[in-house]
Amino acid sequence: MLILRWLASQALKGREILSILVVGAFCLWLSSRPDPIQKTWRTSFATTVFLPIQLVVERFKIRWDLQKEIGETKAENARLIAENAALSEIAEIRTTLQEFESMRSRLEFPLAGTRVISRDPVRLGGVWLLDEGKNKGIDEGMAVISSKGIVGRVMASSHGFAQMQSLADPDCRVAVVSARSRNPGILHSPDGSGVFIEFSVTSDIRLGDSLVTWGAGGIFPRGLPVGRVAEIRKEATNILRHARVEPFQDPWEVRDVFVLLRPPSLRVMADDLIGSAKYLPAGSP
Amino acid sequence: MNLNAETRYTLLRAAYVPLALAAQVTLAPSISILGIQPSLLMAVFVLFAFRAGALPAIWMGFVCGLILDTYSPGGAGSFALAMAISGFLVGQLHERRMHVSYPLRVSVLGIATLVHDGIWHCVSHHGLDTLGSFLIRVSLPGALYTMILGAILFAFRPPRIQARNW
Repeated sequence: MLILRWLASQALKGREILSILVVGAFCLWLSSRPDPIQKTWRTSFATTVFLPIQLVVERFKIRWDLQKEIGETKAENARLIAENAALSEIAEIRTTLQEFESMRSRLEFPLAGTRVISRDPVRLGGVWLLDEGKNKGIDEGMAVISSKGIVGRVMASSHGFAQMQSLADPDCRVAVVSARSRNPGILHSPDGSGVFIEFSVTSDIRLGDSLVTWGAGGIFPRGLPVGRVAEIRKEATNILRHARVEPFQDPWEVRDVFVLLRPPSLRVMADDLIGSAKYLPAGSP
Repeated sequence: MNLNAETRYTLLRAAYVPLALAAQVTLAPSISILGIQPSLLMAVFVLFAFRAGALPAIWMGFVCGLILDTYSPGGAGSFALAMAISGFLVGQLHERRMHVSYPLRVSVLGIATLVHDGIWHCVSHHGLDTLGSFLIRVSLPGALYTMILGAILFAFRPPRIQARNW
């Protein structure tokens, strides 16, 4: 049995040696042929025996190149989209600054530009987050405005961010006057769904009146645009009246805002006093 | 057509080599480092020779070499002879005959690549006087790169622990 196995292995080995001799002889013969014959041999092989293989490899290569090109195009497209988004952002900031330029000359305090980075996506009111804080001099009680009008006030400030109370927050109240009649009212939001003004039945506030800040309390300087009276509701008691106000600055569209760097020490003063007071930086005695 | 499991496995194993040839033509240029290309074909071919033995390796090498010869500008038959001889030599270390450890397999791959390149260089009428510099400057870096790829490939296809006693 062992001898048979040995013979079988020798026979197998013999086939191997025979094969390598045949292959070697053929290859050496082929390589010794003159160049024109080799060229003819190549052409005939490529167009007959290896044509299917060539087609498969060619398809594979085309597919591979195509995939590579698609990948590169996708990457380039993503880069361009990102670049476009960045440029759009810059253009938007530039537009905001240009719009704000007309209002800036009327303000007597410096401003800090900031951006709303978080807010309630469903409700108008609530607390919003700004991306700048004490590092830019922003402090509690400062007014937040945009190029169209007031937006809210700073509730708390920390290093790197600040919390802002919007006009539609139920806890926010702002003293306003009609730009036409100079009659006062209180801007408020009972349920956070919209902005309303409460005023006396004797006040001369009419539909379509523009409202501006009164300046009382010292948070908002006098004369900042607030909104327009859109609807007056009559109350049964006939003591106070309520009117719906359409803010000049649509709260849903607010993105880039400015914080009026009015010192907190002036917050409790009346507007007349604030107008004549010397500006003191935050933290000064 | 009824094929037993062993035959089907052999056919599947044989299909890897032409696939590696296609990968060599398409993928290898994209993974070259400083112009040094690995030989995916040699890595798969040497694994095939370990697994299938010398006889299938000779003919597989011959066929793949002929394909390369058809499309390469060197002397016709040079690739076929180089691959057939490499297959014959590596096939002597057939898994059924002896156990070859993992590091030795990787080393054999490097040597087989050098042998292949040396034979190709000689048969392509490039001259024996440039053989040394060709092996050191061109072949050796490629062989080392091929060994790295082969080390990864062989790790996925480990050798059988015990060789059959023929």
